[in-house]
Amino acid sequence: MKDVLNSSVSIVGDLLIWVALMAIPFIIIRFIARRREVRFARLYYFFATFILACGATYFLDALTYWIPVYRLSALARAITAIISWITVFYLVRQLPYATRALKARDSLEVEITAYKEAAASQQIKNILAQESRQLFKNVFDHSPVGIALLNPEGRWLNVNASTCEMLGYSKEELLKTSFQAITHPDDLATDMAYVGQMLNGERETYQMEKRYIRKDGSIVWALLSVSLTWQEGKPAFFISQLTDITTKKRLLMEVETKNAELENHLSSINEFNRIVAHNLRGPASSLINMSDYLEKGGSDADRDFLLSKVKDTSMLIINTLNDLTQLLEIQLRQEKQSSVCQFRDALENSLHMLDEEYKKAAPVIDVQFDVEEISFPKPYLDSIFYNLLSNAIKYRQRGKTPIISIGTTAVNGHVVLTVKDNGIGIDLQKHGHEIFKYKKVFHKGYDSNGVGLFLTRSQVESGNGRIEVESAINEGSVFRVYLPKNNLL
Amino acid sequence: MNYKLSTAGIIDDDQIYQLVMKRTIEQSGLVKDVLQFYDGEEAINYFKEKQQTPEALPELILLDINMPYMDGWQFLDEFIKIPFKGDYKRIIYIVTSSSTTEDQNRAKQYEVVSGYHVKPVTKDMFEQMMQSIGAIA
Repeated sequence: MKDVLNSSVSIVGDLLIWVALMAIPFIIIRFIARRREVRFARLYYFFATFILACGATYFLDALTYWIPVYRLSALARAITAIISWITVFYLVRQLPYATRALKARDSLEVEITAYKEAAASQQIKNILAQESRQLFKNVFDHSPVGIALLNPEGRWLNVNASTCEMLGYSKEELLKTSFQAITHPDDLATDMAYVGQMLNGERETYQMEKRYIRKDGSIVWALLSVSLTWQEGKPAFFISQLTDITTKKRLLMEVETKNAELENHLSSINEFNRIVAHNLRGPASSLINMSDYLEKGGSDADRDFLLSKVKDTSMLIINTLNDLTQLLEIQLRQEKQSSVCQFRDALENSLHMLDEEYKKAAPVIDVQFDVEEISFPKPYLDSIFYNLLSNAIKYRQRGKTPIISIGTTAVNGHVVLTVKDNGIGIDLQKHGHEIFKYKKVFHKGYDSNGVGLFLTRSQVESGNGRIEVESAINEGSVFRVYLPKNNLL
Repeated sequence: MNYKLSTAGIIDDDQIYQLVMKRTIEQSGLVKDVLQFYDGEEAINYFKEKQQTPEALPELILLDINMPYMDGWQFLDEFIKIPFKGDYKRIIYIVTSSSTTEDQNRAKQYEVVSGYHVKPVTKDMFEQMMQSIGAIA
């Protein structure tokens, strides 16, 4: 009885193992069938076969209880042994690949983690970048300072509202042009020099005060600050900031003009004082000397000589007084309003005024008016022309045709009137400091009174201009009159 | 006559002053000869010409400031550069119609200038000038 029980338990156990071992291969095959790509598929099949074979041996063991199929059982065992060894060999051969595959999987996981972290931080960065873009956009859009991006050639890439307002152009109009196109010509060279230094990497930023020409033609003064952004070693774009300083500049210029006027007035007063001291007190005191002397007698010859000088001396006093009156009128600019004068008209008028003697000298006059007109008191301009022209003829070289070049050019906000002659010239070493002073004469034998150039200088200075001379003895003189071009700020 | 000085020079473009001054000097009896120059250029040429014989040059010079061609200042600038032979004793007075401090201060900058007188010059003023020369001598 005990044996029967033992055998039944063994049989049931064998059968249960067989069923279980039969189930495993089916599960493996289903697993393979479900996955699209399975590495080491053959290994799975070997396992399945091996387990199936093992199962078969248990089944045959159980069967031998009823049917003595010992040979078949032995055969199954042999097949199982062969299959298991094949599997072992195959497994040994595949082992390195399998380990590698596992390792790759590990590192992939590390990579994936790193990637996820990077993605997270990128997201933060994006948020920050977004915020700084927003910040920049806010500053850009609402800044009272003009902000503009320009390409390395100077074309406007982007401009904010303040820039547009300041320059008087719409954004669309500005983006079609360059900063060079709307920069005041007198400021362009300086600006371009800075731009060149920036592009060469010699300088990181620059700041300058410059003028732009607005769309309506008016001038706006800006304090410009520029930096350059580089990308991959190449200049990418300029960031320019423009502050409107027109009002400040205008006030400053007004102060400077007023200062210059005051200084002019002061030096005029000094000059006036000098003229009174020498040219009025001189003849007046000699009249006193004379009357003192005559009271005490003196020879008839002396009396006659002195009395003959009374008229000359009195005339000298009157003439000096007249000159002083004229000087004061010039300086006070009484009844001498500026108007638009044509240089050609002034030249014509002065030619008409020339003495016959000068006309006979038959001067050759070459005229080149690059600037044709100026706002200036008309009588003064005529007088300036007359004095310079008549001097050029008066101080001509004996036996030489006077050749006179008269011209105007525009230089740095000034109109320069040039009168050049081939006359006897002036020794500037000796007389340079007093050439425009009252009653200074430099050439004997000429009917000079030393008033012409003095009044000319006063007239020029009354219009905030200046006069310069360049001269070489026996070669000629060049007079340059700088008159402010007052239509520009 | 016993002259105090042998020669005086007047450098001035004012003809009335020239005559009156010349007569004043003559009548004082203190100076033998009076040389007259009507501008600075004329005067400086004379001094340059006679630099080898300074005994013939004026010991007293009355110099005006405001003159054509070469004024008193330019004359002084040229004068101090002349290398006179031997020991040329001379006294230079500026005699001008200008009483401005500008001119007076400028005159002080010249060591060679002994005094500054504002026109008109009277006989008394000239005698004072001569007295101060006596005190120096």
